[in-house]
Amino acid sequence: MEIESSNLVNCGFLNPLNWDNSAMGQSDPFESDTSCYSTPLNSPPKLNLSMRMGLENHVRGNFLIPGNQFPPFPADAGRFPSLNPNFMPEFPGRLESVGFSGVSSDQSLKVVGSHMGMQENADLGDSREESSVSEQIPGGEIGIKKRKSIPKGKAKSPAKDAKVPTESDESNAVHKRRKLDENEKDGGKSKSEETENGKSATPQEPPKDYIHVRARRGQATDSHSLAERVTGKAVMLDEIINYVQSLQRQVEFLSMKLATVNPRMDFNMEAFLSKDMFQCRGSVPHGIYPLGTTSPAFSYEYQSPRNPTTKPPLIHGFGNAATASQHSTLWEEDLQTVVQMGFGQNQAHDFHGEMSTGHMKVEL
Amino acid sequence: MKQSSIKTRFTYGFLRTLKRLPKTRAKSSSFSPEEISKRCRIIKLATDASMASAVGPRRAWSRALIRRVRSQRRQRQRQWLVMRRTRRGERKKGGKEVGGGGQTDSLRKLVPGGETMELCTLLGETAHYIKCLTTQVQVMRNIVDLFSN
Repeated sequence: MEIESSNLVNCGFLNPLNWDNSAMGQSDPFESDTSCYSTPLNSPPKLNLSMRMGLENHVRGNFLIPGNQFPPFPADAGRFPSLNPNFMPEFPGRLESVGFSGVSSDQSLKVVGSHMGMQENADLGDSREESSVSEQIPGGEIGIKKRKSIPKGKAKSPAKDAKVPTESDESNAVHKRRKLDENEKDGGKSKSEETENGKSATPQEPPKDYIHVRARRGQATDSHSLAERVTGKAVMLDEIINYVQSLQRQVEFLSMKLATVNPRMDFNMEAFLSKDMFQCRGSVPHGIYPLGTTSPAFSYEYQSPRNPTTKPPLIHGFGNAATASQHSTLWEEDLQTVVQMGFGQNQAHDFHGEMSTGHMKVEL
Repeated sequence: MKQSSIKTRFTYGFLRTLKRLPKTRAKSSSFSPEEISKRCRIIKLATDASMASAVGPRRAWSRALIRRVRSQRRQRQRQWLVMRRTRRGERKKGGKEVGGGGQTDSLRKLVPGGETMELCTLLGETAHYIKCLTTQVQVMRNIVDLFSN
């Protein structure tokens, strides 16, 4: 905590007004060993670490949103003109466990101006980060024990650029905020109001809960990519789940549909087969022909009278039909044959036409 | 172009099994909800089995799906004895600790065999599973269109 305080003081960017000591105690953002944001100022390297707001593996679970946990920070913002104390978005005291694992970045994150507040460490972006402002004490970063001090980010320019970067940082904030829009709006407002002299004004809104993301070494620290990384994983997982569910539902629906139109299947099955094949993919016929050459033995196995119109390639697919037909005609058994056939076919392909009935039996 | 892609194998197998479906004699019976639901269940099982066998044992999800189909069949044939055996086996496998958040758990439930996978393998299996599911849907849609025209 002491270190944090000192760092905070040095940074001056902090808007400690909303921070409680408790918050700081949980996290150790000022560990120098963690790489984080590049120190914009000539502040000690530790400062950069403090800026680092990122999700680390060990942070997961105890990720703290910079809520009211930030220690009251001496408003040394004057030292960092660009620091905009009012940037502090509201930090609800609640914890938001992101659950992102493995998001540890050794790169120094773009130090977001104080304007961004803790959560805005997401602005890992580019070197534009303001030196003074960018340093943020990731009050929410609880559990971040170590930080490798790898200021991969470029040195931050002095506070004069703080204004612009902070604004851009705000827009590019890579953080998950409940009130994202509000925050940005407020941040922009506050930013515009603030002069480069830096103010120790308290943040206008309580810091929001943010997800601190740290870019890995070698990864882009652009805010967009970071945002992608932060929200992308959960969003992607949700999308994947929804997609799989929709596909499975479609299969169910189509099987239901098939059940209703099934009676029509008894005629011209083979014609349907070939038609379906050609419809599915135009290139299918090209790929089918080699089948006949690789497994000529199957052609004799196939029940030719049933498929007088089938091409040789099609026969291959049913090469194991002879063995399959020996099974009981029960519906349940058909599934078994399907499975057997599948395995047999797969192995047959490997063996180039070798009849793999033995393998098929084993599969049973 | 693969010689025999999953799609073609699946189509063949599925159509074959569909042909073996007991055809409804009376028109009226085919439209009874019980009959239709029964056929729907059978067809869904058939399509899953066809897809899994078309994919083969190369993929964990297809293996798990085939295991599930077989266990279901045995379950129906030999009732509770086999079911207990398979359930026990599944429970044993499921006891392994695997990492993942809340969303990954739901994904595990969706992908066959995903209960015991690590996250990275789960994602890989999910990708292949999605690919095969889309193939399955496409083929089934074609078949339905063919039959309904």
